[in-house]
Amino acid sequence: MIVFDTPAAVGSLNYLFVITLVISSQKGGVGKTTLGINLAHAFARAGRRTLLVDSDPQGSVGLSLTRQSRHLRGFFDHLSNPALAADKVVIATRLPTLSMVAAGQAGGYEFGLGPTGPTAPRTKEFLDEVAELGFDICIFDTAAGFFGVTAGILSVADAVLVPQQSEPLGVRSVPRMLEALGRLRVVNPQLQVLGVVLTMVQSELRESVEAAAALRRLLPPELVMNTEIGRDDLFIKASAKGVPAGVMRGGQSVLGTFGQLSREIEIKMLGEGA
Amino acid sequence: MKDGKVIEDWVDAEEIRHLAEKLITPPKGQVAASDDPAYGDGFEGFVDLPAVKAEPAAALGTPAAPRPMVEQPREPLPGPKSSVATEAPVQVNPFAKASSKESGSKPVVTSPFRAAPPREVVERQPSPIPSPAPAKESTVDTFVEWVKREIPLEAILICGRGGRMLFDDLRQAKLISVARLLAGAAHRKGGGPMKAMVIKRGEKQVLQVIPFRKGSDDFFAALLLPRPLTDSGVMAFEKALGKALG
Repeated sequence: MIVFDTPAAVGSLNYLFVITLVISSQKGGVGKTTLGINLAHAFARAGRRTLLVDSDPQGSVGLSLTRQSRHLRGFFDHLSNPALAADKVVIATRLPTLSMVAAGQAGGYEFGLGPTGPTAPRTKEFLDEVAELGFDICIFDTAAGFFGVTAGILSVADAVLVPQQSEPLGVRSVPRMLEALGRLRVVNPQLQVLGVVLTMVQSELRESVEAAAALRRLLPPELVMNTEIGRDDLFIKASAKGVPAGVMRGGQSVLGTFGQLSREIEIKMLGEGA
Repeated sequence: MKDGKVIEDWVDAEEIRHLAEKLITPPKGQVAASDDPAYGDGFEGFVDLPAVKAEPAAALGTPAAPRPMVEQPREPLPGPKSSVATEAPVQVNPFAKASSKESGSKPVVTSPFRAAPPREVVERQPSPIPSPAPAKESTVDTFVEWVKREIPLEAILICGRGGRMLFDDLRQAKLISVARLLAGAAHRKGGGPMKAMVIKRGEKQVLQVIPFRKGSDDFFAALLLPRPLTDSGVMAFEKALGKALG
């Protein structure tokens, strides 16, 4: 009987699919980076080969997870230099299934001055390379706003998750957020809007709880994740140590929350059989 | 609750409901530009056909379970498709993409791959071909089993010399016809390496047609997948299939 499991063939065929999930929000300070780091950690703990990409020029993921990030080449270097392969910017972590790509050194993208023109084709090439490196899921942490580099990434992504701070003023930005996502879906009809994930929920603070409830009343249930992320000092402590909050002492609850969120995302994207 | 209502008064609930609904349903009649960045140069267009009876999507990183070979219902297509039936073969001309680009078509385009009713397409099928030799069948079956372990493949058609079917669990005359037309055009074009072609079939399904030449014989495979294989994936597929074909 013929055998096909030659390393070359298996190595390529086995890793053809990478799910691209973008964490994005019009507003800053809503917990995008915290969500990205801990969600990536949750997927990796579940055995998914996970790549967390920092596409925020401020380099928040990099700064949170490695103090060397200021000197590392990263996503923006890859965008600006076609000769730079994706594997040259991937950084392994202590968790074998979790790797990251820092924002990098190349400048100008903050102002839409990237030297290589449109972001989307280059991001697509990046994702093809990431697929061939064997990753199952690629999570992008983005800068605030649905424009510039973030819009380019969203135009080739599979899904977007929108963190929304559970506070009254946050609700006011919802119509603009929905409008922006609607425009992006014209460009990328395949983009699945996973919905809003409520962050920094303070169950003991009436205003926070009411804001969360108001958002759930305003939006259809399909567009609000069931899992909510509570405000927790552990996130700040974890950031100071450069680790996901789940690995901190007392991080069991965080692990549980993000495990639940990652499962909810998988079911939304791939169905119950996932 | 009173304060909660105050929060809701800050926004127009009706506007939010309207905007949100647009995000839940696929944009009606709108598809990406013909140079869809997610599909690259091999992108051929869109097709609007009834879905295959598929099992739930495979888990991330988990090989797809082998699919049962189920005969698909040959029911008429929804919508006013009959008028385009006889045009279908012309519209699936792989060079149509270039002309649509030249005409300056904008991101919103209608499908050039309107499906012909099954009866019309069935008539276009080549005459019945004798079954392949048992030994070869067995090797191709092994290949298909292997591919299905490696990727979330929903169905596959492999055709060899003279259009002879070596394996088929697509079992949909319309898809087979489209695949044959695309592969035939690629084979006739000749020249260097033949490019794989992709037809978007639904929200999460594509038909990828991979034409290739082995020796002096033309072959092709048509794969029904959630997403197309990458270029190197296509190469690996061709290499392994070439091995199966001996």
